[in-house]
Amino acid sequence: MKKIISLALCILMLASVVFSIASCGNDVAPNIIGVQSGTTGQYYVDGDEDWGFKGINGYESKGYSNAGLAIQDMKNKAVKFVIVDKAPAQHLVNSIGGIKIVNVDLTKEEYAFGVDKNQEALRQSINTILKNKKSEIKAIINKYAKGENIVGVESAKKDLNRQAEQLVVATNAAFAPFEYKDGDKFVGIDIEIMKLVADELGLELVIEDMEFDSVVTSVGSHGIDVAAAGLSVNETRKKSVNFTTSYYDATQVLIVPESTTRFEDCKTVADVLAKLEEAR
Amino acid sequence: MEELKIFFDKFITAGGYKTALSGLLVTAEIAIGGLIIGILLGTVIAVVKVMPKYKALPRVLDAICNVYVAIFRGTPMVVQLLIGYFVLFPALGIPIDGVIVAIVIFGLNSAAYVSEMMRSGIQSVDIGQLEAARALGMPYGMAMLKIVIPQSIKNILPTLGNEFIVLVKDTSVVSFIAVVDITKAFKAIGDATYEYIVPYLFLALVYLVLVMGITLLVRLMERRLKKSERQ
Repeated sequence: MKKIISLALCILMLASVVFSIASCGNDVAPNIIGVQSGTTGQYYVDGDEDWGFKGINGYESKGYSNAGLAIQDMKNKAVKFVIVDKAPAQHLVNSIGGIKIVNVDLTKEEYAFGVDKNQEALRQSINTILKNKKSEIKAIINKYAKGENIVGVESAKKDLNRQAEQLVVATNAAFAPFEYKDGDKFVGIDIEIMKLVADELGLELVIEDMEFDSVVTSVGSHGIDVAAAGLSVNETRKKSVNFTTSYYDATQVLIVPESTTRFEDCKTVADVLAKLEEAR
Repeated sequence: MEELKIFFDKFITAGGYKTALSGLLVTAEIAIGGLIIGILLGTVIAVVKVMPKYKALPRVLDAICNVYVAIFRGTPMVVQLLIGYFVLFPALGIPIDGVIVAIVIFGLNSAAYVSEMMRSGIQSVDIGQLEAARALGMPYGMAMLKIVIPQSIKNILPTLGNEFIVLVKDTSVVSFIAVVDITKAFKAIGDATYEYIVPYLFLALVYLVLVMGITLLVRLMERRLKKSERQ
């Protein structure tokens, strides 16, 4: 009797494995949109009052620690589409094949640096530099759009006692082209702007690389002066930091598998939302 | 093959291996430091727990230890790290490095687990050993330290090895407090290229080699401690 039962169980398990493998191939991805955790894209999919987003009807978000993994999961059919900031999206499309961007700006937002609330003077001087060095900053942004002449920035060692003249910047170096690592050096638009600011102020630049979720929280503790992580200005974050003037106009875009033709005629946000509704 | 080329480009040509090496050092520091704090504090807790409880003081100490173990076993490591780094240490007003915070928190967390292992180790030593030591005039503390604990360590060595392995692998959460460990170092390579599979495969290989090294070390120590046994 025992033998028969165990044999039956074995067959059942084997069958279920075979079945799940077989059903994998033609499986349609669930109604989930992949995003980078804690970024604007996540609020856009789920809806958020502070941001003024209504959410995307019938979809929920799935947060990844970076957009690259979200794309990987889209290829694995675990999520249907991915929403990320436009500049990283372009970087992604250039480095990973088999995906494309739907060329409609879903949102309008501004990137700015978040400064420690107790250092109003620092915020003022960063604002002045952002204003006076407009052409240099433009050159940095253009440089990364083309991917030319990129020079790494080395972080100085943080002086815990705050004796040294340092500018300590918190970032999440997983957001090319704004901040990422090239070997043991930091590169990216935010990094180079911060380098410019540090040089102007005569300070040594210290870069602290951490999870995106920790970046805004960390400002004001452990000697961290500024958050520079492609931060979109919003009310929730204003509770923790004071923002500088913005240095970049950003937007969210939809990334879809290359074989998807549904979104080709989309011109407006309403078109994209309508097609998303259809794709459910 | 294209992925491999991208990886080696970042890892060797661009100098990513330097970050990886310093990350490996940080991982080792946190795991070893954490284990040492864990064993020391865990032993103290275990001794308190097995102490005879006729008097008031051992009872109070026992209650404190119970609360401690409940808190550190009952909350996730990441939460403890975040609270420690962003709330507790800043509240104390001491400027402190993230690595030190990580070592302290991993040590405190590990102590909660080690204390239970140690307790079972102490209880596995025949009660006659303690009684004999006491009969020879040793004070309770000395009898524990010189007679019971050395024998119990021998008994729980494999589980302590396990704890060390868990610590080594758990260190990957320290990137939440801006510490760059071996996981973060390899992740950075993936983040730069948005190509994660190869860096993660190599990362897995590094951990595997590390853990195999530890396993070998524990086995050697076991063999050495077995010398006193009758064959």
